[in-house]
Amino acid sequence: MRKFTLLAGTFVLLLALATGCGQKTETNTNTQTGDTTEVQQPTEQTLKIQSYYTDDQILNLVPKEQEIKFVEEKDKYLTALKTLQKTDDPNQIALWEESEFLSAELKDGGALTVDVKVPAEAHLGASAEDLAVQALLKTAFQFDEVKSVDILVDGQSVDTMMGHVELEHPYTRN
Amino acid sequence: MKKIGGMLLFCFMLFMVPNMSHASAGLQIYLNGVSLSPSAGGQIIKDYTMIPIRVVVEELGFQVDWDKKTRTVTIHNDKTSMTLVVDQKWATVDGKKVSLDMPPTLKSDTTLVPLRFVGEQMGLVVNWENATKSVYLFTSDYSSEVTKPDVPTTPGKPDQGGSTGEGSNNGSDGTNNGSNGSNGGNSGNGSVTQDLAEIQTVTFEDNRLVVGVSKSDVKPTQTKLSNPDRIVVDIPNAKFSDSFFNSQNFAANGQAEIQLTDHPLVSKIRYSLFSSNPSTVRIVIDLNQNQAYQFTTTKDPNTIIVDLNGGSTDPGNGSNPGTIPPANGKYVVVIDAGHGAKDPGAISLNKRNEKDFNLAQALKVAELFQNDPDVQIVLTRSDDTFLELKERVTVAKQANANLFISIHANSINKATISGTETYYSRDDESKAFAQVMHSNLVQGTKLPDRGVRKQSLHVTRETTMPACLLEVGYLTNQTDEAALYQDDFQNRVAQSIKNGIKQYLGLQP
Repeated sequence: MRKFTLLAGTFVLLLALATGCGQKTETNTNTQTGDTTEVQQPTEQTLKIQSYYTDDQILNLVPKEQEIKFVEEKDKYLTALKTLQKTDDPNQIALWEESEFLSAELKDGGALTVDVKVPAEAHLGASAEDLAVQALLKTAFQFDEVKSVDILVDGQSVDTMMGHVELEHPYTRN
Repeated sequence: MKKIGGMLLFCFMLFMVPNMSHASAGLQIYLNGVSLSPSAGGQIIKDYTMIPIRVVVEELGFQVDWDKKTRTVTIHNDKTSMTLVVDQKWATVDGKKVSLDMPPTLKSDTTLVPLRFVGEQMGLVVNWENATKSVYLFTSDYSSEVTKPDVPTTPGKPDQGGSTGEGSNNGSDGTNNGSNGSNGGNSGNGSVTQDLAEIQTVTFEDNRLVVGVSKSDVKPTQTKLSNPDRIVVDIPNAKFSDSFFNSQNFAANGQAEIQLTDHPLVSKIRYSLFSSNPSTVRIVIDLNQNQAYQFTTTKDPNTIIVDLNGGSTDPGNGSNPGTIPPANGKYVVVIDAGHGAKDPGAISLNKRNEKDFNLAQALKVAELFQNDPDVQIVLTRSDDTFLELKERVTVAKQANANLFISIHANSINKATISGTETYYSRDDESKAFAQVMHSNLVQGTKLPDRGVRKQSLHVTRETTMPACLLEVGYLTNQTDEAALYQDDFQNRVAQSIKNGIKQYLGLQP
């Protein structure tokens, strides 16, 4: 059995080498992606965005300019949303401080799907929950290409995040 | 490229809504009865109401061109065109030079123009109500039947030209801009408007139009007209309350209506602020046929009633349908303990669950109402079970509830925040209900009073009866948390909730 594994291993290795050599003459097959990323140097982009927090009375959303850095355009949304987790302004409260943004993917046609993790410890009261949702939406919709936002909790399309405000699936730009 | 960037930035600054529009605090602008968005950013400068030119475009619907170099604003519609220059005390209206008391001004990169001048030149009627710091704008097509002053039923002085129905009399007031002075200075007008009665509700149930008024000394008049058959009720020295205004779908012509499909007697009910001098509310009942009716007013509650049932009916002790007791004579109050089971709600400093506080508090309220002769409590949950938000609303609907109260405890990631808040979502009776509940609740909690707040929350928005949500205290604050799980605190809060319910329903405590 062990012998067989070893043999099989060698075979795979040989096969890989063989195809590797072959590709030098046969231009571009899909295993070549390693090469292309080497050619195009990853350039980090910097963008100024508006992020939204609440005031210390939990009454309104407060915008604040934040700078985000990302390499690929598709990472822009998650990077932007993560700014909602922290503010250095003592008069502001970061509504997403204790929650987590798992992913934010923009699909063709401008549908942004945001997956969040909201542990019980991060559950907010009624108004803060509403403001948290609004903060996420305003941050996402500042990008013109985002036409709709669907908020999932742990990948699930749920009625409510924290039990006061219902989620729309999806929210559309109004 | 740089130039484009600069231009873009400029446009951005020009049209960007300043999100913190402190200056507009208290200033309300209504167009045909509809409140402009609070972000409109109107502000009062030297007694003149000034609005950003963005608002002229977005809210008033005129065309605006801005020439940055010459700092010239051109505003036009298909009839009138005017140009104004920043800081220049004259304007050109359809080619004629007109003097301005208050020139356009640049303030934090926003060009502000004088609202009255622009509005009146563009054919709007502009009225200022000093008592409420409100500007009422009316378009010239605001002259549907409700607003047409064709029925001389309005007592008191004849209309002094402030009629909302006459929008086109703006030709003469180019130099009449001095009337802008009423933006704060017209004390005569102010003292009158301070005494205005507020129309708080307009309902039609059981063939009865019931109008809830804030004061008892209103002197409404009624006229029956035919062809088509209709009843016209005028309430002088009255206006719509802000909350009623905002809760109604006032159309562009300043009129809101209740449509009644398949009603044997009435096709619809229309109402509007028919005149602003004196401020008069007009309500028209459009009848399907000639119909006998009774016209009465009641005190405490203050109502105006048009009863189409012919015979006299006791209006009872409730002016709004939400508080008319059901057949068995008991009011039904739904107490909704927030969260439950898999949804713990918030977690307190000492890792206690919000859902447990909510349930304990709800059960204590229910206990206090056991054997109550007037009120029956319906609980959305009486143990640790889970309900979706919409299921809570369904419970209230099925119980045909008169009132809905959701009990919660608050949470925020800032430990210093402490106190009691009460929420409502609908600008109907819910607001008054929330206020009554809150004033009682804070006496019970003895925690800092953080006020009555409006927020769009599912259970308070989707229910149809007066509804509020109590955030009794903060689980994330040490003092509040210590109190929230104490038996005597919960007993005190339960009693205060009971007091609030009884007070709102007008029952003996």
